[in-house]
Amino acid sequence: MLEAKNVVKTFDAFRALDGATMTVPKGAVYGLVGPNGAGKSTIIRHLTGVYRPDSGELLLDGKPVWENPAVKRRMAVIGDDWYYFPQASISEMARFYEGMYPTFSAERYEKMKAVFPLNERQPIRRMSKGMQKQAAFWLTMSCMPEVLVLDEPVDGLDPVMRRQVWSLLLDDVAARGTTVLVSSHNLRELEDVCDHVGIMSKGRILLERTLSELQDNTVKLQVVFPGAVPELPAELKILHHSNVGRVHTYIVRGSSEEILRRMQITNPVLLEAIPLTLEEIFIYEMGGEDYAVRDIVL
Amino acid sequence: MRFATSCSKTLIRSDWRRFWPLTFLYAFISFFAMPVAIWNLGSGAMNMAVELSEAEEHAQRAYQMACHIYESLSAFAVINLLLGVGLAMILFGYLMKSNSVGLMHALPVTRTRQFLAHFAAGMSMLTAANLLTFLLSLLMEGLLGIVDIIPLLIWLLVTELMGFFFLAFGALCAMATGWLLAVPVIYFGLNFVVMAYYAVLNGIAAILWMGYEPSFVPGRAVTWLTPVIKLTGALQLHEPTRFDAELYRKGATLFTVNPEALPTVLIYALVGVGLLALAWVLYRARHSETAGDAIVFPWLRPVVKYVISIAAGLALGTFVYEIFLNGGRHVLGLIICQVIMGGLTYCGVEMLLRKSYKIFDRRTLLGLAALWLVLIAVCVCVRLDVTGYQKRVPQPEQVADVEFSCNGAYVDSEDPDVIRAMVELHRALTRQDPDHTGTPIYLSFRYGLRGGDWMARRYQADLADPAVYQALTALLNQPGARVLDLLPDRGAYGERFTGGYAASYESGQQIELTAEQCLALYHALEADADAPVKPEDLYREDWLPVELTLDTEQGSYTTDMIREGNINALALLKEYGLTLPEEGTNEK
Repeated sequence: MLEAKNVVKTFDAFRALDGATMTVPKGAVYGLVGPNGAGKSTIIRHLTGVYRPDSGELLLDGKPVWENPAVKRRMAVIGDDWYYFPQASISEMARFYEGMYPTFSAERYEKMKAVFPLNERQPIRRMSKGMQKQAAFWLTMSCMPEVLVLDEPVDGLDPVMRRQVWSLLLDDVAARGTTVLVSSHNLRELEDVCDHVGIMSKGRILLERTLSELQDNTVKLQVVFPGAVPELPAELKILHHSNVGRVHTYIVRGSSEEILRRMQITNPVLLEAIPLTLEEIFIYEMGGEDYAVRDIVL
Repeated sequence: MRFATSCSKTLIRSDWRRFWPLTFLYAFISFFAMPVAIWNLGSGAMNMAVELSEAEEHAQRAYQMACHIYESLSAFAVINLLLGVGLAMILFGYLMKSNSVGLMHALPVTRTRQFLAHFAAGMSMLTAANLLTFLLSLLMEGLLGIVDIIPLLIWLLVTELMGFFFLAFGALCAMATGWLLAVPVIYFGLNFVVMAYYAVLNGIAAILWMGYEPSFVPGRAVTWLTPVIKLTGALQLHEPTRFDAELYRKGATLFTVNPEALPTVLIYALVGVGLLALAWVLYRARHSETAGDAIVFPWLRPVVKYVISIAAGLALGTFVYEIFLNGGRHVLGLIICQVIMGGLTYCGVEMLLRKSYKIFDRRTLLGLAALWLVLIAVCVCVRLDVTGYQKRVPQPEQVADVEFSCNGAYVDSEDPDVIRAMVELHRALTRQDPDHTGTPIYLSFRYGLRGGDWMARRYQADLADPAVYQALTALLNQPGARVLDLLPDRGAYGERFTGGYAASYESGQQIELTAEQCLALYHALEADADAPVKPEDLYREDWLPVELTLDTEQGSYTTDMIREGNINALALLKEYGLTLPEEGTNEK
């Protein structure tokens, strides 16, 4: 279990992490989402032992990550701007990783040659951004980490390769119980692979749940009333409302069964509960944080 | 533990794989400086004045090789200075970029191990090149049949220790910044900051202090705090320890390593251990997110800001002052120049540190005010002469000897009367109006004090000041201070003349002189030198285009400084037939 407890980090006068607390359960695929500048990359750098917190704790299975090689050798990371030595080829970087990670598997490295259509002797700097990302996956997954931390991992990969990479990751999760923490803005993709989601804003984790809990906890209602819009039950937590003609759409927090039951008192002509996508949950949750799409006429 | 060792080895191997070209370059330079040079010395022609026996030639070649090896050490001090910063930049360059520091610090290695591994990689690169050079040099000596391993071992030890010191210094500088290009700036800045301050304060004192004699030979503290200067000085060749009188007589080279060299290098190596420890502490303390910051430690920023701004304010301010107000002692002008230049530098540094042009807030204004106070305080303190430099005059009994020079005339005397007259003149000079507008006459003198110390001064004497005029006249007329003596080495060759000649540059005429004429001229010059002298005579540039040479069996007295004031000598030369220019036509 990878944990951050009340982590605070200030860059000059800017509080990048403001008591961030999150828990990535063992064997989970945890999607960390949030608007730009929310602190996702910052907390990832803390979780991988790159940044030292001003206060708070970063733990893997209860042991601190900071300056703890025994913990860090169980983790591997692909940062948003993955670094390789300027003159190095994939095979040279593989030798470096092999020396650093005792779990590095030469066998897996060899097997993955078939997955990634790359020349392992070509300097990485000569490769395209997508090819460099493939190289990063090839090397990192060859380390056979128990915890894989990925910051915008599939950025720059073509659709086939994205699917390929996710498939490899999920196989690892299934076969070896690898814990994956992934930060991405591609919520549609995360929805397919994550079982846990944490939403981050302004240096804090707003909420973290399993994806199913999250989807069960927020409902999109489409309602048509016989006449004017009646007064809705006060106990409904409405996050958003819009309408097209007589069709009203409500985003309501709560279980769908409970909400549907309570809405019956308005005698709707049509009442339907539609499951929300992760993207919709994100948008409506962030709307409550004063981060919403604004109608601005330029 | 085994895992940690394997990680360190991986880091060292990785550094070697990536940065070997720098080691190769160093080894390449060393190859030409050592093995190739040794081969050339051992196999080239001897160029000795006297033919040597085989054994003597062998010994002389060994001496020459040893001499070259020791001589090369000062050059290696400079090479190691450059190598130290080069290695520090490449080894710790990953700290300067966020993605590279992200990779390296996410690795399962503690920061301490990373630091030590990279430093060890640097040291191993240096050592490998040094060992290769050592072995190749030994091979060359072996092939020449002149193996002398001691100089080579000393070379290896000294070069290693210097390399260690400069690499530790470079590592320390790299820890202070998040900009790769700032590393050499900080490194060279720190290496020469004391010398720079010394030179700047020297310049300011020369402007504001009456009598100040700028010294371009820094004191011990300044030299020790400028390592490369101290090392190159301490690694100069030294007079023989293995003196061979017979070889020396035949013109052989018998220099050896300076006895100061090894202790100096050892002291710097010990300092290097301290610098390394400090660098390690800073490495652990520095935050990864500071990659890209000019100075990574907030507490260090004001230090850097003020050290640079004060140095620049003093140096650039003095430079601007010299351009626009040269020649005066305008303390207000100097302060204004320094305040402007210091302020501009302060703002520039502040912009760099904040990475913004928007710096003009209360904090900057307070910082500027503090800087200006320091600059004004420095100028005012120097002007008020808080150290009492300008009024300091030694007692005659404290002085062992005195050197006096003025407009080409020079006296070096241990005569107590001369010393007393010199001290009197010095007292008069300290009391003269510092801003006098009379015709100046430039005087400089240096006391050799009892106890080995010395004291030097330089003045623009005001001849309109009666006390100065009188004291200077008294000094010039001391029998032991014949400043206008054209044959200052009188007595060196005796008075048994064999002949000589006198020539006029103007007409091209040359007359031969007999031994008797030479003796008469010699005494005439003596009488001229003993004639009463007035201070004005010192700056009268009335030299005649005449050269006079008086030969003895031991050597020749020669002078081309005959003036119109040498009445006795000129009368004799005329008598001997030399055509001289009309009197007064040479007054300049």
